[in-house]
Amino acid sequence: MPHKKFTETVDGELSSRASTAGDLSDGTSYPKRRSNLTYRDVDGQTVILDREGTRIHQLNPTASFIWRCCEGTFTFEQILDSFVRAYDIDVATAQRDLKKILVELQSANLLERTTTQEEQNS
Amino acid sequence: MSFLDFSICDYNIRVECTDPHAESLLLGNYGRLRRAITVPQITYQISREQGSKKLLISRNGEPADAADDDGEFLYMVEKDITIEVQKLRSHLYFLHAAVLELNGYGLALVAPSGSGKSTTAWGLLHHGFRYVTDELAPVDLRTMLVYPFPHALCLKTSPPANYPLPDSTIYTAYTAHVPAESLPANTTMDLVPLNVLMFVGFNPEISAPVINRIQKAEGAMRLFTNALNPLAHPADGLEGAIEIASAVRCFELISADLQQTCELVKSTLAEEVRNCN
Repeated sequence: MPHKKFTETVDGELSSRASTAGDLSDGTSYPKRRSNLTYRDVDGQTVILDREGTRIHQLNPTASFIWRCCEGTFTFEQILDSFVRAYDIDVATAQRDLKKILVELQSANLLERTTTQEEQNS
Repeated sequence: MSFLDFSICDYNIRVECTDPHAESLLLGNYGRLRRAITVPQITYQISREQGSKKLLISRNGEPADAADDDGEFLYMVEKDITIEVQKLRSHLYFLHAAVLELNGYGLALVAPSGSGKSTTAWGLLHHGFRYVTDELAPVDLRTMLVYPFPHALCLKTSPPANYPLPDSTIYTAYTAHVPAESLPANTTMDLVPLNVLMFVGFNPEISAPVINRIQKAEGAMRLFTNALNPLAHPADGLEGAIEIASAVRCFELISADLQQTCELVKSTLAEEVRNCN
């Protein structure tokens, strides 16, 4: 397989991008990791191999925490609540950082198309 | 007809050659690896195409491929050997790296082609390091030992004037091959422990080289992108890269002036050895 071998690091301090994934935070979506990725934890960080996209990604500990929450069964609000408790930060900061991270993960094509509550219930 | 027998990763290779010029190229490239073998696991037949300058390369009697010039010839032979060895020794994790050894400690210089890896290796051989391999570093994940493959050191650009190449260097259109026997340091045919990884880049604009310690996750990521046979390993090779990055110290090396770079690399390795002891 020809490789376009470059790397990306996703972290909570990246400047915000125009959100193409606003629906991730509207409370009806359940962010979910793509199922065809290979990933491993390495000392609290995450290394993700996307063979389909021929990329490899490294997530810092904060992004790794969010990544682990993206099981497709938690809403944005539920992930936000976990984030606030785990990092002992204020809601506004957590909300801002969580949105950025989810946008980055989605931009990097690491998340499934967002599922809605209706789809969850079906 | 001449015979060149050698061994890579305990894999026996015989080259049967009817062309004197090709023979000299092969001896220059693989002479250090020569050893008596009993049964070759692979045999190459090298000859000159009749009425042409092309060299023909055939493996185990299969239809031959033709090389237009010396550079292409060495490239094609090297590539084929590399692929065949990877097939037969698929349990080894092959890296695109140069490996050197200093006082029993193994240093891998990892980088894509054109990043200065071989030039840095050439420099370090003037600073007390021994030569293990260039371009192909087979790592045994169980032991973290690297198999030696001391073929000619291949450079794509001329090194600085204070590190001149020897007269025995073989020049092709695009590369310079320094026979292992002509290196300024000894080579080793022993397996070498892998202790330190340095991911090499070159920046001609900086005044001094820089070495930064990097975390295991980044080391694993960079290693993976320089793996040659990741798909032969679990999790598409990701676990192997993580195993290696977790077992050794990982650094990023931005090289500059070659002498300063070599002195920095040597002092860094010495520091790591002190820390280990």
